[in-house]
Amino acid sequence: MARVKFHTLSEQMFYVLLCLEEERCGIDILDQVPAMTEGRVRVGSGTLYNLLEQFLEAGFIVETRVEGRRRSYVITAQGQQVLDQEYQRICAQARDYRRLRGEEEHP
Amino acid sequence: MKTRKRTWKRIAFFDYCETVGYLEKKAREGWVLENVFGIWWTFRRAEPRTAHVWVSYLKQDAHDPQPCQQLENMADLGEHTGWKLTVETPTMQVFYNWAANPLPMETDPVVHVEGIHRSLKQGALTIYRVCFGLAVAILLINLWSFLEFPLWTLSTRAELILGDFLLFVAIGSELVPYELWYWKAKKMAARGEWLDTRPWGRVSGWVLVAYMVLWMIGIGVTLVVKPWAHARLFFVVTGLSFGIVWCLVLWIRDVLRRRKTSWSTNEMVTSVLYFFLIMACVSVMAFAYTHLNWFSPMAADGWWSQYPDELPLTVEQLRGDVGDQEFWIRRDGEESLVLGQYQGWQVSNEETGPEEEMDTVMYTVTLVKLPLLYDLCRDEMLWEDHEQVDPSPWLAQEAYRKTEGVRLRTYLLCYETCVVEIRFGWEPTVEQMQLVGATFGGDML
Repeated sequence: MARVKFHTLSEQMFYVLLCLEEERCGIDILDQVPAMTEGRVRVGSGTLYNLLEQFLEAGFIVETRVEGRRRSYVITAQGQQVLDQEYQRICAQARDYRRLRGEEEHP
Repeated sequence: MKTRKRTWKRIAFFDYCETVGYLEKKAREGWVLENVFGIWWTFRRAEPRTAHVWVSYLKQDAHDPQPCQQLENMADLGEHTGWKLTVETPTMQVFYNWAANPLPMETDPVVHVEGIHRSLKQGALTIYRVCFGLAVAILLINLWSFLEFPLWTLSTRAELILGDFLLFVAIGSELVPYELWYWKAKKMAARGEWLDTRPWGRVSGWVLVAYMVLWMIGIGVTLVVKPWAHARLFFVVTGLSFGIVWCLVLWIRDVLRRRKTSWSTNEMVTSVLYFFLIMACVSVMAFAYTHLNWFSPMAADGWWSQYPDELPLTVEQLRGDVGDQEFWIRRDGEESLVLGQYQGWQVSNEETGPEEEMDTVMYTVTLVKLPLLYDLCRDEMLWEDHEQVDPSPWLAQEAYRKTEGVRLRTYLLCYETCVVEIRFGWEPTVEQMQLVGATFGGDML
């Protein structure tokens, strides 16, 4: 079944929002995400463009500055809430994993 | 050696996989895309090597020489990862990357599918949906027309209905595969999977080829079979002329855009050009209409070609000398590839009492070209209040007479290739019945 939009975030969505806890432009995000994840996650330029448009539309981020063709964004309170919810969901998954693995190791 | 070449390639409006595959193949052959105009692709010579290509569908102002802000954003981001914006049109942008293993422009299938849908909704998708809706509406109107007035519809609009249906199929063959691809792609993207557009896009390619072939055959058959096809040829020529004018104006708009002409100048030049070209086409059409006599009923290809100048059956032929009385004569008719309907009236201007005979004959002839329509024609023309009569005096296969509430003696006669309703202002004799049979019962086609 198709996921409800932004009900859960993909890895790339998660890290883009995380990057924007500080004001950044798109090119900075392209460099920052692989740096944050030690190269594990990389965001395509087209994907980043689409994500920024969708996040702007959803109110998760807001444009802060325009310097020539360089546009900067930062996360909003609504975006922070979505990010925190996703973090809580990931933590819950990790706890479930550890709990089940713990029970298997100690039946 | 040629440094440029132009080819034509028709790809469904959403089939980015086919576009990417085609351009990557061309790059390996040493051709890089330089420009796209409709189905015409212009390539320039380059060193044959492996290229990675990507396509986006951002809609832009067709007159603006500068890329829109969104496209600039995307191009800057792409440039940062080695993707160079090589070709941009008002509806499509092509990126090339010459690195060995570049990071793809799209790395998230969910975002990619939504991004494509959002872009297409602002452009081609909306146009296709509107046209499809119009085609469905026209089909429904034609269906209603056929159910309410089957003979009139088949005799006047058969080819148009077929054309409407083919157009409905052609538009649907692009729109429906896209909607199905989008629906399935969303589901697969939720699982992190990508869905190739090519199996869906190829459907439209084959349907479009079939549509063009059938359309050309239809035009050819119409011109050959129908001796009075000049009117339809006129409409075909008109349609083609407008199409050529439209393409010419779009081409000039794109040339001005590539030359960085300002938005206002571009819009003004294309608007003025379009206006004058349309006026020129209309003037030529008006001249043809008024001077070439294509619509004259007296022309050899006019109404009922076997009798271009007169009615096939007259009161004089039936009753002999009718003195100096005047008649009101009317003839009218339409014919398609499957059915024709013709009316001939000769009505006396003399005043007569309700029980007196009138020198009046009126008839409607339905030419049945498709045998399976015969029963429909007869049943549509037959009245509720009728009785079957002996057909042999009429030289017919079946004959009926209207029994209720008519001053004129009204008969329905069924011949091999036509059904005739004929009304007399007097009681016809056997000789007159035979004359009717000899006139209408022969080969009318």
